[in-house]
Formats: sequence, C-alpha cells, structure tokens
Amino acid sequence: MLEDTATDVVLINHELRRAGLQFQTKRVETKKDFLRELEHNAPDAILSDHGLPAFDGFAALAIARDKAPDTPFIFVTNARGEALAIDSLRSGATDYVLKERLDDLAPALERALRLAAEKRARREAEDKLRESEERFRLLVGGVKECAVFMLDAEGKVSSWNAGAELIHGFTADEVLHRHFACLYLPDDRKAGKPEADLAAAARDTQAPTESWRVRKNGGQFWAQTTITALRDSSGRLRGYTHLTRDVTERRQSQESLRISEDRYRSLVELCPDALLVLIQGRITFINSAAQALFGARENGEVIGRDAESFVAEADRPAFQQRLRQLNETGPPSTAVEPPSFPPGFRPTAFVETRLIRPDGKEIEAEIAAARLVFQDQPAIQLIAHDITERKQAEAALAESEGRKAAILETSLDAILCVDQKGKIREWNPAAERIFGYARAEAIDQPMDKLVVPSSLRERYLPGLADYLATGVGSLIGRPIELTARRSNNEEFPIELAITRSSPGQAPLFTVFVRDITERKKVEEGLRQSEARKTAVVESSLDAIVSVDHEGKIIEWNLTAAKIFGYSLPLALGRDLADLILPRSAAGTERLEFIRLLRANRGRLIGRRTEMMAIRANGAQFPIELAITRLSGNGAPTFTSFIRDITERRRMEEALRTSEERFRLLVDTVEDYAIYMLDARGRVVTWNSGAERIEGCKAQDVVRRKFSLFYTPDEAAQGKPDEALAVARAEGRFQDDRWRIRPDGSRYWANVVITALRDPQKQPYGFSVIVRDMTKRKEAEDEARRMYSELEQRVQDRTAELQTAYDEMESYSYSISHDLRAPLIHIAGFVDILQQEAGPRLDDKSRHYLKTVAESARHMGRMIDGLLSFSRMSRAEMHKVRVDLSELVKGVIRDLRGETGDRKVDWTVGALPQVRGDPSMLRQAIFNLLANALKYTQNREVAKIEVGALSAKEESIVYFRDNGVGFDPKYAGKLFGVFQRLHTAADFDGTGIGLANVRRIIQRHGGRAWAEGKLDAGATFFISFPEGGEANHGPDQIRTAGGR
Amino acid sequence: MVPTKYVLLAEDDAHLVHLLLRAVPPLDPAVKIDHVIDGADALDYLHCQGKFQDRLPINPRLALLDLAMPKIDGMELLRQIKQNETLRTIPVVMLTSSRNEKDIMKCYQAGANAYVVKPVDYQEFRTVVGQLLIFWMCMNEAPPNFDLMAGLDAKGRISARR
Repeated sequence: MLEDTATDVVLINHELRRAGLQFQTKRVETKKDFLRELEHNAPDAILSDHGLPAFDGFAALAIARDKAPDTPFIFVTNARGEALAIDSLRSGATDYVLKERLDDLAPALERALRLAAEKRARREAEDKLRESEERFRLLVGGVKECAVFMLDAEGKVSSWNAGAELIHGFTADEVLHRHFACLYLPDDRKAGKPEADLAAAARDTQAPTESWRVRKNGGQFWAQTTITALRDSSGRLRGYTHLTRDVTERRQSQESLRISEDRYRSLVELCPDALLVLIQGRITFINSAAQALFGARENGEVIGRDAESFVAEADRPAFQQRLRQLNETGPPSTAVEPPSFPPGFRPTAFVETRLIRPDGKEIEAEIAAARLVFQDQPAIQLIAHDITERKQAEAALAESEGRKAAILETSLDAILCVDQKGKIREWNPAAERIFGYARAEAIDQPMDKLVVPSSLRERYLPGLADYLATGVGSLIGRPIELTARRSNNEEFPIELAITRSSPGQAPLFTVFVRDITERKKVEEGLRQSEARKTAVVESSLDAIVSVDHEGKIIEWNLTAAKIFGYSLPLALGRDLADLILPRSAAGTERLEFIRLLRANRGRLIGRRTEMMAIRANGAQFPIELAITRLSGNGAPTFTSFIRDITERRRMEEALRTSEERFRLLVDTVEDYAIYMLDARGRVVTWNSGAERIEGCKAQDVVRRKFSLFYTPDEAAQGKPDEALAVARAEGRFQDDRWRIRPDGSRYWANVVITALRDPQKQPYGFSVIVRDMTKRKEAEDEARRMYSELEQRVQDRTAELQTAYDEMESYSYSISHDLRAPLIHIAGFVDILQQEAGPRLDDKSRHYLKTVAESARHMGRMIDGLLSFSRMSRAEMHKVRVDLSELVKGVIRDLRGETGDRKVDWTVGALPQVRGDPSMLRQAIFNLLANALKYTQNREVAKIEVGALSAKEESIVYFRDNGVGFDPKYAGKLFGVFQRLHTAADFDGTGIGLANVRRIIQRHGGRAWAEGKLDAGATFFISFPEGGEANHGPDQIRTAGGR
Repeated sequence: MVPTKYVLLAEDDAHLVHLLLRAVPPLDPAVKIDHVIDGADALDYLHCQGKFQDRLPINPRLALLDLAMPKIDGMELLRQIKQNETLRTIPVVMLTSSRNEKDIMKCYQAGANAYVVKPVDYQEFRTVVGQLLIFWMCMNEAPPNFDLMAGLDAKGRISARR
C-alpha cells in the first residue's frame, strides 16, 4: 500500500476486513521502499494513492508495470476527475477507487486479483502449450517405434513421421492428404470403422483401440492406436492426432499374458484371501476378497489410495519398512508364487497389521508382501487375511482360557475334562488335592480306573459310557452323589456334575467333582442331631409343645398328640391356650399364659406349675407344665413340657390312703412295738404296742433318742449307734437282747431295725419293730434244756446199750471159747475112751458113751448156732445189690452135696434183686433151703420151690416144700430161738435156723413168716421193702467190730 | 527113729493137748510135737532161750497156736513170729474156738498161714489137724539137697537167708 495518510490506511484495512478478505498490508511511502517491496516481497496487489509527497502514483504504476506487470495495481485516491481515471487506466492500472467510496475497493480488489490470476494462468498455459508443441514435435519427429501422425478434421493425414513410415511402410508423400482409412483393413473400411473411430475420438477425448492395420505391402499387423481429437479453445474440432504402434508381437504375448492374466485374475478373484497390488505404494488392484476385507462397496474407495493410509498409525512404520525392504531386494518376484518352494526359498511371512477400513472400522489383518510385476510395472502384492475375528476369537479364547484356567486353578472343586473314551484330559489343582494324583499322573488315564471305586464301576460305567457315546444320559446337568476313591484307596462321598463342553466332532465332557466328605459329616452330624432331637422329642414321655410369640403351636410331639388327643396337623397353628386349657379354667391361668407370651415374662417361665387341662374329648385332667423361652433370630418361641399327672395324682391319693391305713394298722397293733426313728435316731412315732411293751407313753419318748431303750452300759459301748449303722449299711439290723423298761423290769426283746429309704435311695429314717419275746425265750430255754437233757439221756442210754453190747460181745466170746473147750474135752476123751475101752465094754456102756459123745456134739452145734445168731445180729451189714436168684442157685449147689442120692426137684423162679448183705442173705437162704431139704427127707421126691411174689411196697420171696409141714397153730413159735416144733428125734436141728432167718430179714427191713399144714408141706416167706433202705433200729448202735 | 520134724504147739488147755498128742503120731512117726502152755514159753522155745536154751536151734516145721493164752496170747505171738527174720518162715496155724470173722481176718493179716476153729467133734478135729500137719509139713519140706548145717547163722540157728 502506497499511502501517506495513516487514517486512510486504517480505513482501507477496515474496509477490506469487513469484506471478509484475508490479507496482509504493507505500507510504503517512498520510492525506495516501494522498489524494495516489489523486489523482495512480491505483493499480490498494489493499492496506491495518486499524490504522495515523495512519490507519484503514476510513477509507481510505471515501475510496477515494469517490474511486476501482472500484479494488480489499484488507485485508491481522493482525486476526482474522469480524466485522471482514464489516464490511470490507460497507463495500465487495473482499477480506480475513490476513497470516499471505499466499499468499492473490496470488489475491485477481488476482481483485479482474479484477472491477474487468469492472465497469469493464460500465460502459463500458453507457455506450456508452446513447450508441449515443441516437445511433441520433437517427439513425433524422432519416434520410430510409433506411427504418429496428424489428421485434419476430416480424417485426412496431415503429418507423417518416421515411425509411421516404418510401421505402415508408406512414405509421407504417399499418404499425405489421403484419408487415413487407407490404413484400415478393407473389411473395416467397408464397416465404417475409421469414421467410427474418429467419431469416438471426437466424443471422448482419447480413444485407444486395438485393431488390425495394413501395411503398404498388404501385410496386416495388430496395431495399438490412439486417436486424440484436437480442439481449439473454442472447442472446435481442428483435427486428430493418431498414434499407432505395432503390437503384433506384443499382442501375441499379450494374448498369452492375457490368458495368463485371466488365469491370474480368476485365481486372484477366487482367492479367498484379499489380494492387493501396490504400485509405488498406491493400491492399484484389489480382488473381491480385498474389497470385502476393506468393506468397500466399490473398489474405487480403495484403489488409488496409498496402502499406508489403511494401515493403523502404530503399524505404519513397520509396514513401510517392509515395503522398502521388498523394493530394495533384487529383481521382482514372479506375479504368482510357485506352489512348491525351491530350496533356500523362504515363504513370505505373514505379519499382523492393523488396518483401518474406509468406514473407519479397525481390523486386524495378516499381511504377506511380495514383489511382482503387475501391468509391466514393479509392484508389490499384498495378501491379507482378516484376522480380526480370529484375533477376537483368539482374544476371547485367551480370555476364556484365562478365565477357565483361573477357574480351574482356583476352583475348590475338582474339575476334570474327559474325552469320549473316558480319558482324562484336564485335571486341576483341586483334583490333585481331592484325589491325590498329580496332574501328570492323571492325564490320559481312564477316569473310571482312577477315581471310581471298583465296587461301583459296574453301576457307574455303563451310564458314563452311554453318555459319552451318545451324549444322552441321566448323568447330565444334575448333580448326583457318588462314592469316589482317592489315590490311597480311601473311599469318600462326592457330588458330581457332568456337562458336555464342546459340541461337535470330538466332544469333551467337563466333570465337576466336589468332595463332600465334610459336608456329609456335617449333614450326618446334623441328621443325627436332628434325629436325636426328634427322637428325644418324639420319645419323650412329656408332651413337648412349642409356640410362637402369638401363642400358636409350631411344634407338637407324639406324646402331646397322645395326651391331648389332637394329631399334629390338627394342632399346628392353633392357639395353645385355647386348645388345652378348659374354658372354665380360672381366668388366671389363661391370662397368665397370654401374659407370658406377650411380655415374655410371667410366673410360668422356668417353674413347674400344675393346672387342669382338657383333652380333645372334653375330659379334664391335671397336668404339670414347665415353659422355657427360646430366643433365636427374630421373635422368641416358647417350648413347654407338659406331663399328664393324672396317674401321679391317683398314686399320690392311693399313697395317702395307704399311709392312713398303715397308720391305723400300726396304731392298733398291741403285740408289737412299731415305731419310727428319724435319720438321726430320734423317735418320731409311737404305737400302742410300743406303749405296752416298752412301758412308756408316746409323749415320754417322742423326739428322744433311740438310746433311751438301752442300758447306760450298752449306750456307752455304742450299741444303739452300731445298730443304726448296720441298719443303714445293710438295710436291716436284727438283735435279740434283754431290754430294761423304765420301771426296771426286764424283757427279752427281738428288735428289727429297718432303714427306710426314699425312691432315690436316700435314708430318711428307721422303722423299729420290737417284740416281747420273753415268754418265747423262756420256752426256748426250756426246750433247749429239755433237748440237752434228752440228748444226755440218749447218750446215757446209748452208753448203756453200748455197755450191754460190749458185755454181750465178751459174753458170746466166752461162750464160744470157754464153753466149747470143755465140750471138746468131753467129746475127745469120750472118743478115746470109746477107742481104748470100747471093746472091753458091754453094749449098754458103749451106748452110754455114744450118747455122751452125741450130746457133746449137739451142744457144740447149739453153741455154734447161738454164736452165729448173735453174731448175725451184730455184724455190720455190707449192703450191695444182691441177685437173689444167684444166691439161691449157689446155695442149692452147696446143698447138692448133702442131698446124696435123694431125688430133689428144685424149681427156682425169677427172683428180684434186692439191696442187702450177701453173706447174711446167703445164710438165711441156706437155712431155709436146708430146712426144706430136711423136712422133705421122707418124701420120695422132694419138691422144693423158690419163687417171688410182688406186692405193693414189698418184694416177697417164698420157699415152698412138700415136706411134713407144721401145725399152723404154732406158726408164731417157728422163728423163736431154740424153738422147735419137731423133736430132735424126728429132725435134727438146733432150732436156731429160722430165728437167724428172721433176724437177718429183719435187719434188711423185711419180714419173715410161714404158712403150712401138717403133712402138707410148708411155705416160708421173706419180704424186702421196696426201695431198699429201711430203718434198722438198733443198728444205729455201733457194733463192736466197728469201733 | 530120730525126730526130725518138730511141731510147736502152744495151747494152755491140757486136755486138749492130750487129745492132740494122741491124734498126731500115727500120721507121721518123725513128727515130734513140742508143747508149751503159754505165749512166753513159746517165745523162749522159738528163741532157744530160757528153759529151752539147750534146744537144738532148729525152727519147728509148724507152729500151732491157740489164740487165747495167758501171758502172751496167740495173736501177739503170731505177730512176733512173723516179724522176726528167722522165725517168719515157720508156718503158723491158729487154733481157736472163735469163728469171729474179725479175728480170722486179723490172724491172716498178721500173717497166719491157716486158721482152725476147734470143732467139738473130735473126729473132725483129728482129721483137720492131721490134714494140716501133712499139708504144712510138705509145704515146708526142704529141697532134697539142702544142707541143714550150711544154713546156720552165727548162733547156730537156721538162717532165713539163702
């Protein structure tokens, strides 16, 4: 700005700003400054005033026109006058603006600038055209490979270059001004192709075609032609440029290339991977997969852009470096990578790169880059996989894996994965801990062998196998309880759940196992505790009823149901007071009950109370009730223990009655003193019997100590305490002693002290029963005295008897010895006499001697008989079982010697076995049979029969003979000693035999008797008592032999 | 004939002795019956002392002892004989009136070889005694080659030891 007035500058600035122009102004005032500015800081526009002190506007204009002819120069001046304005314009100013009309300035300036720009552009364009024409001419002139020629607007050849000459074979003269159709094939000419091409070129600025052309020699060649329409600035068609290239060879190779390119293209198109071709970093080609990758609706969104622009910022440096590397290293690789890699060839690496799509979405791609030649240019082929999803999947998987690992690692439950065959694939630390197998040990093991107890495999495996095979089974989804086995063979309960975790070809099953040993223990403990509690509650003899804070029944055990007659369902929820308290009950109880519940206090808590209750059937009965309060979380509950005390009351009543009766009883007994002592031995009660016996009245003795009844000496010796102590220890103390009455009289007392205990076995006193036994004692003493007297007498008697017996012993000995001796003399000397003097004597004398001898012999026999009889009476009996038959047979054998040639008919029947002394019995039988023999001696045939008769309580044996018998009148004398019923003349005998028999049989506890008739035989009977042992009477006296 | 068989008869009943003496000799003339009237003399006889100190110290072939004798009775005598080393080989027959079993047992327990109850019948008595004599004499007869003197002890008595 050339301006001297500052305010004007401000105004101008303001105006321009107001117009919205972006500008910068530099103000100068002098020529020197002006020049400097023009040279150094070429302005876009100059604003100048006309008259400046140091300078002139026109001069400035001239300079500006010289130095910067294109720069708009605008006069901004006060000076008016049209002439000035015309001058200005004629001098070359771009415009003229009056200061008073500054709002013209901005438009003027704009206009000027625009014009300047246009002019500049036109000049540039003109220069360019000139340049290009020059270039063209050179080009065209020199180019030998291309036929470059011009056509005029009608299509006649207007220029011809060397290349055209070479290609077409025509020289310039031969072709100039001819229609270029001559260059076409005749068929094309006929088809109007030249005109069409021209028209096409005229329509579209460039029309590159490929078609056949002819040469001069008639040869054809494939030509690439470009016809460009030339227009002048008004758009009028001036002509055409025509480029022709002989691309016959190229066409062929192009054909193959095309084919190959087609192939490539189809490959590329079909390739699922995104394929991009970059030329100089710019995307030149993409396949449809790439288009999809970029999410481009049309490939125009991608093609032409720098590949870089799609790469995320962060990855760009790496990407660029890669491209650079590729560009630098060696010759470009082939367009399509060979399927097999020659040795040493490393396949292209895929690098993960983040790409940004045109729509802004970020994707992860795997990109491999390779160099190739694309459309004859070195290019870079990129293959990209969209790995976003994969990455997401990977990330999700990693996350999931991470989560899973976290779960597996930290889970308290054992988590196993098994495959379809039941082999363990996964084994977490909890599994290690629970089962005792390390991960390495467990993996690949069959799960059933590892953790299922062998006893359960049968049951468990089929289900599992089924499930694993079919995916269908009862194990899925629901947790079940099983028994498992640890590595140490310990079996323990588990909770197990199986789920299928990956559908598809190879299913995996996840097994969650929880060791519920502890839980089971707790459950068991809880169950037992509950069971115990329930058992306690249910089996309790008391009714256990719980109510909530409103008094409604919440627990009701079996006994409650039994006592009150309401089953559990009927009772639950009912108001307890309503249910069991009689309506007529004293309001106090009900109120008390209710008060208790409301206020949680009351008389009933903790204490046992008795009250009347009512059963379901309306019967009232007494109960004992105790209530305790349980406060847990929330409202308190009350548990009451109720006992039906009907029975107890009844028993109490019965006891009362019984006690009453007892009291009456005791009181009225007179023969016995019955009184009670307390635990310390003081008299508590006193009956009339006691009064009588002891001689004291109740008031004298009650509350006095028990020792009152003992003499002072006895008391000093501690006898009363001793008595009580014994009673306490053993329950009972009995004593017989003399007791002294207060009046000094004595009586013989039988004292029984019994300790009394309550049901808990605690002693609370003693009962004392005293009997006056004086009379009885006296009687006893008397009896004892008599008894000892009696004994004495018996002893005396026995001694007497013993003496008598002993006397008899010696007596019989005397007999045996002393009596016999003289007899022997007699017999002996008579014998001698008979021998010596006998022959000298007469018959009578000899007869007398014989008589003497016989008498002596007889006497001897009698003595023997007596002795044996007496011995028999005294001898000890050795009792054994005796077979009478044997004995009889033995005696008969002995007697056979004496029968001689007599005819004796012995008949022996079955005889009993008896208990007796064999030798004595033998003697008796001998006597009897000898007698039988003797008294049948006159019979032709002696018939002797021995047999047995049975009678009650006796065994009888008889000896029957057919001898002379006897007069039954004298039967009683038969058994007497020396008693004979026959004279010695008839039958020899001592008369002792039967006495012996009787004595012997008597000693055996039996009897002997006889029956007979004169001359009709006799039967002698002996009997033995049944059972053997009998009273022997005098046998009690000891025999001499036994002493 | 030199009596070589001696029989000791201890019996206090003189009459009986007379009877016995009449009964024996016809049986065996070699038998000499030496008679003592009580146990003490019997012992003297047997021990060749007292009034019998000049007797030939030969044990009698048989001793007939009455149970009841004054001074030392038959039982005691029997015991002494049987407890004596030299005398115990003498067969002893007890004569008695008693048929008391206990006495019989005691005699046998004390070592009596036989026991006879004196029968009243004289004939019987003679038979019994005769039989006894024969029996026990035979029993006690020394084997043919026995040298009497060779078996004598220091005092000239027959020693029981062979």
